Amino acid sequence: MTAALTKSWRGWLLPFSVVIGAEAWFLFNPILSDTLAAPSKIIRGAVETMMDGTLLRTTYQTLFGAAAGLFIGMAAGTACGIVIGLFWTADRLSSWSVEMLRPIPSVALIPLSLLTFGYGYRMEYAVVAWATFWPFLILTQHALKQIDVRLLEVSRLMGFGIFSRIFKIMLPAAAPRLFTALRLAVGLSLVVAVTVEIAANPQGLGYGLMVAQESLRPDRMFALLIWVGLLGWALNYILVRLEGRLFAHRAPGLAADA
Amino acid sequence: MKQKLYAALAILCAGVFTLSLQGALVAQTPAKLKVAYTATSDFASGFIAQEAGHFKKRGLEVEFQLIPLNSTMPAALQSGSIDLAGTTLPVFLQAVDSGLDLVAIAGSGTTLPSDQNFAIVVKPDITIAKPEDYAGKRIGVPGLGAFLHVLFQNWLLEKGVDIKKVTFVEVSFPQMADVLRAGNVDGVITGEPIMSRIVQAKIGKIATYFNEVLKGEMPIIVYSSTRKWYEANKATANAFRDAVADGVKDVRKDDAFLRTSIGKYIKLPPEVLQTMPINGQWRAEIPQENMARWIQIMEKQKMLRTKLDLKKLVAQ
Repeated sequence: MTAALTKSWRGWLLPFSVVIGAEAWFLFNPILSDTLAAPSKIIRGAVETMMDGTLLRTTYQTLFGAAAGLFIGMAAGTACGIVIGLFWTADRLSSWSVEMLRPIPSVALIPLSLLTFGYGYRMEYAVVAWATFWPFLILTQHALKQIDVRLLEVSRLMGFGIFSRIFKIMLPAAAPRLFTALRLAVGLSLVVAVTVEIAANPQGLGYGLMVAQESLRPDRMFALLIWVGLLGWALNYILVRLEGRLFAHRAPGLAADA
Repeated sequence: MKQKLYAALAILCAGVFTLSLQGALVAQTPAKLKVAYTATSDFASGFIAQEAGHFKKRGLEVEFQLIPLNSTMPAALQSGSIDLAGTTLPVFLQAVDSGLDLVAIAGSGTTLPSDQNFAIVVKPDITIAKPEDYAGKRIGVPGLGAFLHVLFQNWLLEKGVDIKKVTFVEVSFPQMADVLRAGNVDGVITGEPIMSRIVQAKIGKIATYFNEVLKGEMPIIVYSSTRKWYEANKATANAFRDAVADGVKDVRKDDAFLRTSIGKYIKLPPEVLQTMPINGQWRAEIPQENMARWIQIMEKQKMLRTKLDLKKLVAQ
């Protein structure tokens, strides 16, 4: 990680300059603003959100909502992907429905989800699960179709049943692609969870952003916004490293890339 | 024989004692209410009722939940995740108009024709000499169809100006000063404390107090529930209204207590909280004629599709 940061130190020049420039601008232009805040005030707002427990509480709520929704979406998407990937009939029967339903933006389901589940985790689970269901379904389906036919023939010759074939041959063979789906879906689940909280759900980091804005505290709002960005970056970083470690033997370039 | 009689009496006494203890416990268990509100001092009577213990006195345990967008509340009411929703009148009436069976339980902040808490604030270089001068202007409103937007359109219509000639765009309250300064809009329809902050910073000037055309007092906020909840909890709903009415009586008694109470529910910066003008008025009852004024205004703006039954809208 240190090597990566040192290697890309030039990448820090731009954000660092923006912070210095913004601080200088606020110093020489003391204006009334309820939407902008000087970097020094944002740092103070960040410390405040840490000290009063807002950061910890809202982060937990967002991560829990995103993780549980992701788990539901992953389980349902992978299961459906296996069925569609294995059986041509299921593939043919579902193709039209999948193509019709997949483009529906998850955020468009917020009003329906709110009406059904009300405020709270269940609404967030439903919308996040919808958003993450599709990448798992599509990638699982494609991963199964790309498994080496000889592997499947061998498993048949060895007299494997359907479940043994799925768990001993197919899922291990499809694992790298499923992990890619997971990496994509983790980022997506965080974005969707925060969006649901901004739009309707009174909990989590998105709600914290809205409350900070309504309370005329742009310093706290930006502090939470930057934290959401850092959280997304950290999750992706961890998953990329994990992917490199787990599947380096299958794709030699992966570990080095990570 | 005597022993059997004593034993029977003892069992009877124990039974009566247990039952009365259970009854007392049930009577002491407070009714829990989850009430949604938005970040406005129009809820001050409710905040005061909570802080002064008026809800508790009536056996209510009220939990206030801040909701940034009051338009999401009717759906949350329907799902049962909240018991009461503090919404503006346009949101409440449009929800009923859309088919949700809601009933207004109690009122909160109200507005009068003489109110100067809301106004349209325009850029300093813009001159509004007559209502027609708004034609062709781009005006920021806190929400399309929000109560301030509806009241300003009502003023335009009363003054004979075609509302289609004015462009309305959504600008949230905290963004109004910056958007006006940047020149993205010609004016914003706003209220306190944003209005005073914009004027004091000379970002804009007050052009029109549009309440002047109102025909009388109108509720800004009502606490509503589903009819099903109301029918099953009439005593609780009445106790809630009575506690809010006590809050209304107390709201002007102590300015420091009022500001501290508001600050507990709306986390404004201390300097804003201490200096913001709180000129509103509050009323726990909802007279039908006050609700009727909203219906007339919204019908004139074609915001309602059905004929609403006034008698069914307010809890009797």
